[in-house]
Amino acid sequence: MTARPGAPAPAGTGAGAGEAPGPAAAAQAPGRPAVPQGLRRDAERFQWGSLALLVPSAALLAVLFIIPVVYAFYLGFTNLQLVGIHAVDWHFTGAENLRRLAGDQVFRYSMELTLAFIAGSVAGVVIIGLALAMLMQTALAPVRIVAGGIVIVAWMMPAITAGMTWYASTTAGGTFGTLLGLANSDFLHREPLLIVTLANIWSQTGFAMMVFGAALRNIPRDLLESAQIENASRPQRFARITLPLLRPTIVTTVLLITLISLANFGLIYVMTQGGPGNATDILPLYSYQQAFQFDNLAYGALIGNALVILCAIFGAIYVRASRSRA
Amino acid sequence: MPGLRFEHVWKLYGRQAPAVADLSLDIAEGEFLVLVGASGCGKTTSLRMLAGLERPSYGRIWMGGKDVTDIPPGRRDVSMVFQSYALYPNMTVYKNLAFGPRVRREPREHIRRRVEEVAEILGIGGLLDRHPGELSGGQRQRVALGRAMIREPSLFLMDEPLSNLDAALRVQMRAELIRLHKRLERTATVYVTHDQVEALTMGDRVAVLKDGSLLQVGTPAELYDAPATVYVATFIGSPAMNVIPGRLSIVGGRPRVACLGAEFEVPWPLRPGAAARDVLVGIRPDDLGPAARAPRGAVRIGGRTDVCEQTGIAIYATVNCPGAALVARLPRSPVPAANQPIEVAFDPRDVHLFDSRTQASIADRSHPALAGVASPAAAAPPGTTK
Repeated sequence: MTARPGAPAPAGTGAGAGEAPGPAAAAQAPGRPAVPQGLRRDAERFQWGSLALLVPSAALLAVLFIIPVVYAFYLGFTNLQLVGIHAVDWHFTGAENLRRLAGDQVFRYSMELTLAFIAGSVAGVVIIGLALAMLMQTALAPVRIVAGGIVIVAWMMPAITAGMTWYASTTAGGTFGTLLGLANSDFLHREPLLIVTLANIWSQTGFAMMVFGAALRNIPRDLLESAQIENASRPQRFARITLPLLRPTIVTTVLLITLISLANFGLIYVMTQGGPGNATDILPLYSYQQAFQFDNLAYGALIGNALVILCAIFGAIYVRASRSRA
Repeated sequence: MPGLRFEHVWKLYGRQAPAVADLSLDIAEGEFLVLVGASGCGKTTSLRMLAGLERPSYGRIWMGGKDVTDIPPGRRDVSMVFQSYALYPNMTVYKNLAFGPRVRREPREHIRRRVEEVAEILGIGGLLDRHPGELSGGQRQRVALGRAMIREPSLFLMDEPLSNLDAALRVQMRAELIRLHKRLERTATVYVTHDQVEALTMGDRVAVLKDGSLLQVGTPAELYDAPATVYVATFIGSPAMNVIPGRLSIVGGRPRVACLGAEFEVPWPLRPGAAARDVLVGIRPDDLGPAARAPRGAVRIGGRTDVCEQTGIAIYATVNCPGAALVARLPRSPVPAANQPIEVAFDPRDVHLFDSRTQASIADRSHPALAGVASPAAAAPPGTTK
């Protein structure tokens, strides 16, 4: 038991020789017992039995998620159509669709719309959400409960309902126009991208408010009080303490709002179906139109692929942003 | 008048019992005042009202002859050390120290010099580039202290600044805080703690609070030698004072107390008009020793030993007497065996008497014999007894 090789090392030689202090040197410091060798009782081990338990969920993931995604990616490089001859007789066409995409003016325009829609939505949601969360902190309890409830109801509303509400409010003869005494002005037609962005902001802000509210409650009150005693003004306290401490939350929220907004297909579809013209034709809608309205399933899939890559790029940027330190 | 003053200050939260009730207290320029009490006694609330973080419900607060009750925290010329240290986690030590001067727009070069000076005093010069998360508890404590010192305020507020440190570091920082306070001659310090040892060792004066009320304020020696109430008597000093029921009677114009089957004459003056009544008799464990060593005139009580606590310099033994368990101080050896008969004794001069209904002391503290207790050496000079 005691005759394990290396275990009874002569004490003091390692540390006495002036070596860099590593775990081994520390273990052999004078007067300390040598650390036993061999497999540790508390070593992490892989349990083969766990594989059996993982199989059901792994199978579900594969069948319902991984295979379809890979298959959709592949479809982007074929000539599959929804109807017609290529619906049955389709094959791999290599870079054919990519060439078409490169020359597609609508795709370029759709890309610009998407970026504008995302930028506007994220900025609006974060700023309004944070402002609401901060106001809620100091609000009287009844105000907080009522206002918070309304904002959250807006967030929980299905995209169809929110879309119909905004459509009815902003179209010619809609609620907003009537309230403003401009019953005949069709805001939705005149500024379609602005209106759908506002609708999206309206439907996402409740989420941001809740996330920011929780993060604000986690900022120790002492920090802000300490700054108050130092005579830091409200804007100074916000800029130098609250904002830096909220930074990780803001980055996460921005990422989530980006993804949720891109997935908020139903809202825009209900309001404008991408129109008028292509004025609100962001990538998810354009992909849908190509696939199911113009029957180009393969080309629609390729646009979808572009959307996935765009999301991945956003994700990478945000993750980097959350890591670097101010 | 420089210094500060609480003037009938109240703080109420909803319908709960008042957090601070009718607090009136003067604090002199350069004084080190300790607010001490159990948790929930209102000491931190009082401190926060001084800082301006809490607005009194009623009453006024004065600083340097000015009414500051409605003045916001930033314009009161106070610095505060929080129990949590409240260091800004996103800033380096340097930026933490420079935060105050920077938001007050002091010149950059001046700030740098000040930060280096303060870092030098506190021995944290090598840590200026670190973030608070990379510091040990003691180092964070120093940074918090430095941040408060940088301002050279007229009032220093400390909310249990040592409670998160280990015992050895706490004793060391205690001494450093006192040294620092002496250095800032004109700066008054108000220090909140629940630890009576900290209060006695650090304070020029100590204010004892309970349930929002100020029970007594005085020098550590005054609180120890002449506690005004039973609560102060048992809160101050360790081990806690023995308190036993007794009966005061006036026999031939002289006050006599009966308790634990013994009877003795009270050798010091009672408050005028003190009549026969039920009293609480207080005897500090340090004033209760083995009968064999007691002087003539000592009161002897028989009992049996129970638990003994060895402290190294002495033994504090619980002695079960008929009707009460007393803690007595015995010599470190021989160690008494459990459940042995023992006789302990105390000098009647060392006894404290409290009215059992009002819990207030019935000693006449205006009498010259007891007014002198502020200096322990002068306590109960022999000539004044009997």
